[in-house]
Amino acid sequence: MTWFDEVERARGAWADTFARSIVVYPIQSDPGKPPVLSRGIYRERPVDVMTEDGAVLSSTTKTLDVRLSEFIVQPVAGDLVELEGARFRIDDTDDDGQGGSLWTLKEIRP
Amino acid sequence: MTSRSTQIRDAIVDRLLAMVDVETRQPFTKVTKAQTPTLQPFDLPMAQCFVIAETLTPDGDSNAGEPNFVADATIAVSIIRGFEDPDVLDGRIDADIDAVEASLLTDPQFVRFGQGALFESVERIQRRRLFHKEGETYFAELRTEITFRYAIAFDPIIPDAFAEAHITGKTPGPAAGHVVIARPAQT
Repeated sequence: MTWFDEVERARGAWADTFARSIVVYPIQSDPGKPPVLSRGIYRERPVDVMTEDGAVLSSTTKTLDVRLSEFIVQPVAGDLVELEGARFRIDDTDDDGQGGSLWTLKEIRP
Repeated sequence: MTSRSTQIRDAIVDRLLAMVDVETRQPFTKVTKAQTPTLQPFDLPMAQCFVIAETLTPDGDSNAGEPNFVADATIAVSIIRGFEDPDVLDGRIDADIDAVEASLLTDPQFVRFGQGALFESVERIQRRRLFHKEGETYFAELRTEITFRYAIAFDPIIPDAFAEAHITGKTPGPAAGHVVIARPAQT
């Protein structure tokens, strides 16, 4: 068993425990194709956004940790993600080089 | 008594409170003139209004007479939106600021000159756009900075009580006179 296989097995167990169901709309990565059911580990981290006038807007950074092996076409920035009724746009994808990708999400309301 | 700049800012805030969104016909969720309380995402769309600079320059010769100044007060109005596609956000905050400027500068009660005027002229309007990278959504901020000009003078306050004046004059003829022309009432 290779190191990559070990990481994949560990990532799979981690996802089985903590991942939530998501729907990916591949409007950038695979335009015209139907949405894809998948899963990812959702996290929030508090962050303060400074306005031009120095006021502080309390916010969060929302991320989704996914296994790339669970996608036929790898999603890219600009694709949409639905998670528990909320709609997000993938703002950035950071691949970790070991089969995982961390997506930074931005909430878009209709 | 508040300064003239603060009066202008409060007059702007009163008008922001009465404004509605061009598309939804809803007022801003929050209108604030204080920078200290932490803002929350559910406050969006939001309008902020602050006095950001006041500059006083001499009105005429700076070394003649009491200090007279031309005051330039720069007041910023910021509109902050979020939770929309970045392209939509850009257009909406642009429309918001257009509406704010039009609302202020076409309001005869606000721009009136003469008796009771808040300012003498509008000297400059500058816009700044800011798209925040951090946060749970795309936040966009568009700020218009309006410079209002008004005059301010500092008339001297003389603490000396007038007591007595002696004036020596020469009367026609050979004898010069010494005349006391004013004296306070005896108490």
